[in-house]
Amino acid sequence: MADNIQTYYDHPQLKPAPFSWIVALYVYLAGLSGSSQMVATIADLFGGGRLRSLVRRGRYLSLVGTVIGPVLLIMDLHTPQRFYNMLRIFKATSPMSIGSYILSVFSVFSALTGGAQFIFDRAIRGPWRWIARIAQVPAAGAGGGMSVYTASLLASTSTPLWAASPGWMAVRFGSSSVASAGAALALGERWSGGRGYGRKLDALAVAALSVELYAAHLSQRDYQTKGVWGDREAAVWDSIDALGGYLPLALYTAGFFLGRRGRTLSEAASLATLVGGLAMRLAMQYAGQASASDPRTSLRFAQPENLPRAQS
Amino acid sequence: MKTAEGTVLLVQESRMKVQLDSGASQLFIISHKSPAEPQELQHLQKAQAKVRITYEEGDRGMYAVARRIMEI
Amino acid sequence: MQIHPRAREYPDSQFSRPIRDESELTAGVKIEPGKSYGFFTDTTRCIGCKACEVACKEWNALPADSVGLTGMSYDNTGGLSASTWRHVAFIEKIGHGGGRATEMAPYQSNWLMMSDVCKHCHNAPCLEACPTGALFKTEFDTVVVQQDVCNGCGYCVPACPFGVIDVNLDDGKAHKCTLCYDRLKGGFEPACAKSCPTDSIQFGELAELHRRAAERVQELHRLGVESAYLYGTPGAPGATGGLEYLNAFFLLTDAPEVYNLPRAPTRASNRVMPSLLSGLATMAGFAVAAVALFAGASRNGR
Repeated sequence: MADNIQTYYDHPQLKPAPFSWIVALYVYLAGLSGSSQMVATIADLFGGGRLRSLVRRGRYLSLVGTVIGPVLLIMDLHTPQRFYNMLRIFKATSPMSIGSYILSVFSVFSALTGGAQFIFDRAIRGPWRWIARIAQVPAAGAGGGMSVYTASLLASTSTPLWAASPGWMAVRFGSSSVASAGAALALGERWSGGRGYGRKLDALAVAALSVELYAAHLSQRDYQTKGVWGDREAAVWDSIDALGGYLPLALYTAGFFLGRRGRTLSEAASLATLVGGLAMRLAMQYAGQASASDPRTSLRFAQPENLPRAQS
Repeated sequence: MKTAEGTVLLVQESRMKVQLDSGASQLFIISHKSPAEPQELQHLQKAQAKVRITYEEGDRGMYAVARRIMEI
Repeated sequence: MQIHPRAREYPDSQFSRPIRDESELTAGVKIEPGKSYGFFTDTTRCIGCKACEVACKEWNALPADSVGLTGMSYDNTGGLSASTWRHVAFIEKIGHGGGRATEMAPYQSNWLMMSDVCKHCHNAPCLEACPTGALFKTEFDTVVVQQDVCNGCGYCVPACPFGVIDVNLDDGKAHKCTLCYDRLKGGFEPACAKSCPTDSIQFGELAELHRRAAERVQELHRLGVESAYLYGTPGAPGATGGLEYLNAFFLLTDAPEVYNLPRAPTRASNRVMPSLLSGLATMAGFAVAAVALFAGASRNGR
């Protein structure tokens, strides 16, 4: 690794993505609502009809992404009135293009699912339940895509931090999305006085958080070997792991052992998971932009030893 | 928001050079908030049209940002 | 110096109309759709006059960025941006690190100057990232942003491994060097190449430029400049990671980093499938876990 990289008057070699916090918020909500749809659909298909309140909440929660997602994305365009040009062509080399279609499919089918659920809840006669049951399947598939394509979006750039560990970042985004969905649905269950499925959702969140922490660990190894890792990054990521990973895991564990009295702890764990998920996306975006603006990082990352083997 | 009047010398992409009535030549960037799309303004160059431009000073370079362009 | 035979048809110093296929007279190349064109920027010939920067701004009606001083030698431009499509870098090697040079390497190598520009990559990451199709390959094998399509999503900006393309926040569109697309269509060589007084910037057909560049490297080696090498030709630094080659390539005499160029850039779209597939596999795993979890719920009724 060439450590004493010469720079051009320390002038940035790359340009940071012109994305504001809106994009990080979108990435977070896309994951939350996409995974909620997936969890709700699985609960509906495999829960034997006993998880109806969970299914309903999951369907409504997925509407958050459906309604707010496109608005956030259009807000972050620099010429918003031309948003429809996104659907002019499809490009498999561009996650921004792939994502536009995933979001479109997700929006249509989760709106259909949520809308049918809403009408069904009002006890209006009609095939509403079945419309929801059919529409939820493509919605859940696209929901899985919504949870992870955003990682591909960031990874498929020249921004050093995002490009250094494409696979593990996607695992991280996906598991963080599932954890947020589990946490949000568990909170819904507990706050509405339900006493059935909170534990199952906690278990899902715990599994997802564990995977996320492991993927974070592996991605940090990539960052180190590829030279995009400094003391500042280490400090940021340690706090992110603590806030959104170890803290909720500890709270979940404590809540589990305290049984019924641990309810408050489980709720705190869910809240920490939700906050941690958003913090992780914000940190990933801002740390990435900082890595692009730092010529030492970007020039070190663009060394032959970091090339994919077949292409060096 | 200020206004100025002048003759269009050049329209290229979203950039427009105008000979102001004061005598100075001014480069405008056509804002994305402008109702007219830059490609619709090509005829102004051909016609050397007189225009009234509502604009604000740009703070990212030495140009003004045109928000509204009216043929007069 | 050779004079093109057609030049004799134009003895006047003022012309009432453009010369047909003018590039034949000024750059020795006829511009025809379907062929590959590019720039060969020979930094050993650059004298840092910035005529290319001025010609580019003038032809493309680009605004000046500022009138400030950067303290970076004679470079007060800083870098390429949405409104600067040619940028001359200055690297003073004498007195570098405080010491006074007692020896001089041959051939003006104590003060490096390089006119940087969009590389018009063969596999252009900005183009591959563009979700609207605003960025496209022209009939001259160059990469151009269609201003009437671009919606300013900004995704091309982090995609570029050279930090070239940028969004102008006032007009909300992405901008970069068009290799004077409009001039090429009219049979003119690009403004920067035409204005370059030392032919440091050469415009031409790519195969011819490659040949000329290889010859120039050999000539420089003969003259004692053993450090001369090409950046952006097939197999050379700058043409790595699936980019294959750059239509605008350079002759350098120091490490790429010295000129603020990445030694081994990569094609961003290499990472689409690895990240997407590992993400989807993760979600499939969690779906299976959720099925196991909820199927349990239906059995024991909780």
